[in-house]
Amino acid sequence: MTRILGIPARWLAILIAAVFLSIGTAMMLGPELLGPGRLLDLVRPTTGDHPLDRLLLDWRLPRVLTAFLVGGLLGAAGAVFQGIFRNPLADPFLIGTAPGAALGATLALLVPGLPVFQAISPFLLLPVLSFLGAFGATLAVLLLARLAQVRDTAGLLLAGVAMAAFLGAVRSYLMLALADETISLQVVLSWTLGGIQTPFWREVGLVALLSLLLLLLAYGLAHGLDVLGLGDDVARNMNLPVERFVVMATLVASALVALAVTWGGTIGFVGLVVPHLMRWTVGPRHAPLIVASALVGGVLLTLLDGLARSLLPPAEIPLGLLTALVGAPFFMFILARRSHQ
Amino acid sequence: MSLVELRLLKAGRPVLDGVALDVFAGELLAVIGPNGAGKSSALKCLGGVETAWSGRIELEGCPLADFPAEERARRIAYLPQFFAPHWELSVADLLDIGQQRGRTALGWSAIRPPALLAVDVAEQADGLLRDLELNDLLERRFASLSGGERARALLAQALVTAPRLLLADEPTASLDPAHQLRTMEYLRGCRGETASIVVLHDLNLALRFADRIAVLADGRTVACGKVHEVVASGILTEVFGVRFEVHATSWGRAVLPV
Repeated sequence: MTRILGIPARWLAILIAAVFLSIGTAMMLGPELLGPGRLLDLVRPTTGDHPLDRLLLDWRLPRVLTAFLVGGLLGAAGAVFQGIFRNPLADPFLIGTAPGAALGATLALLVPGLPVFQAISPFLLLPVLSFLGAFGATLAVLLLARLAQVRDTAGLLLAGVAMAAFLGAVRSYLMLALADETISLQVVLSWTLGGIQTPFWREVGLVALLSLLLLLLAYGLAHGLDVLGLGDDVARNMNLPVERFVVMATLVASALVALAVTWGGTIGFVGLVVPHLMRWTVGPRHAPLIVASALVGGVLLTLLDGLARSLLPPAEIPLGLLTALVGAPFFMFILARRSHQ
Repeated sequence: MSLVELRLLKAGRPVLDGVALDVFAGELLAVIGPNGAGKSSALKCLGGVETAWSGRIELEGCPLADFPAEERARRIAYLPQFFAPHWELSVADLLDIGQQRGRTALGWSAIRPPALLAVDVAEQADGLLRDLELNDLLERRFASLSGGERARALLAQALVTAPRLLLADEPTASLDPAHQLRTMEYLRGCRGETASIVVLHDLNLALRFADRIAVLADGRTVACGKVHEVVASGILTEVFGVRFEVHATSWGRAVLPV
């Protein structure tokens, strides 16, 4: 079996085809469904300036690409977190990372004028605070678990669940206490429910560049995550500085989540479900797993975002609700399959 | 070829207090001793698992600290007493990860351009796989293997880079007698120039398969020498607190506690 980047060639071909198909499909989805002919007209240089063209190129395409990137970040982050926690049920949302990012982002949305935030440029406030929240929350879980001498991964996950609940409560309180006429609760709430922002083209370029950089860093963690999965003792013998590696990997994965949260709000289940599916198809090694999870995470979120825009026009369904509706039953299926084994 | 003098404190209590060992290329040194004697701790210090030790470890005449971490990891392989990978890895996966033993996992150098087409581990480690009869098991998941097969797969993972020193912590634990014998035979048979330090609970496996035996008690080496010297010295009775009868068998002298 030929493997490219560790992925069986057949699967890689299917994945790449799925990427283009999903982006094409999402371009056709909206309040009004478009035919494939309309899309072909877009790339045909001879076409006149159909009013719809500008709408598609300047509004829909950036949004579709952002959905793809956010999904890719979440899929890869899930694969890395499952590797760090050595548990296939670890998910940025269960272990407090995304709730941490959400708390940071809520602060940025509700009290951007806070004196301590003055050092950060307003443009960067949301991404920086969501990164600090994501990293801080995950590191706190790992440290608290170490202090409490929790050694098994199930205990670690439970510590994460507790952290997620705690951070969620703090954020709810802040929303109730701080939202007033100037800052609408609606804005924070809709962001909380998850939804892809529609960026300008230059922003798409920036997000794409950052995403690629972070995904490259995540890919660099693959060997260490493989070794970590053999247990601490063997990992140390094989020259993996376990504690330092876990902190570095957490840093990278938190950055992935923070970037995703900045452009997509809180979207659950992608980071849990996608690496799971991929482990069944490309195997448990982390290099192919991270690549495949990023691709499929992107495909999944691109399609779901398309559905979110088109199911109940003119309203948009919050994307986080859709992923939960799809993801929660799948989570149950995973649990059932595990206990069946 | 390697020389060890170790001290190790854990929570202010000495776990190792003067363990001295030496082992030569191609030799199998068995480490025996009662529970809590510090056998596993000594192996962990040697394998870089435990780092807070003091004393000195020399490999091929040089202090271990002189070796870069990558080299240290490539030269010394450690097999833990309990091993269960967290993911459903196949034997081929384990071999592939084993082959990258020592590779830096942190920093920019960890991001190396991936091999576009995977190198086939099976071809590279053909001799080892044949010796350990693993060729038919390569695609099997580790968790689905029998105890004896697991022991062989782990041995292959440790030996695939031909390390200078192999550390095995009770490789025969939880194996039935037939597999204990076979695992020890594999351990003896396929290590080439690799020196092995093997912690054993079964004294007769140690007597039968080791070139020399080191006896540990209370974190110290109390005896180290040829098998017949250790048996004759009466140190076993002293250390284990039980009298032993010595019986002549087809393979040499065996001991029975009475």
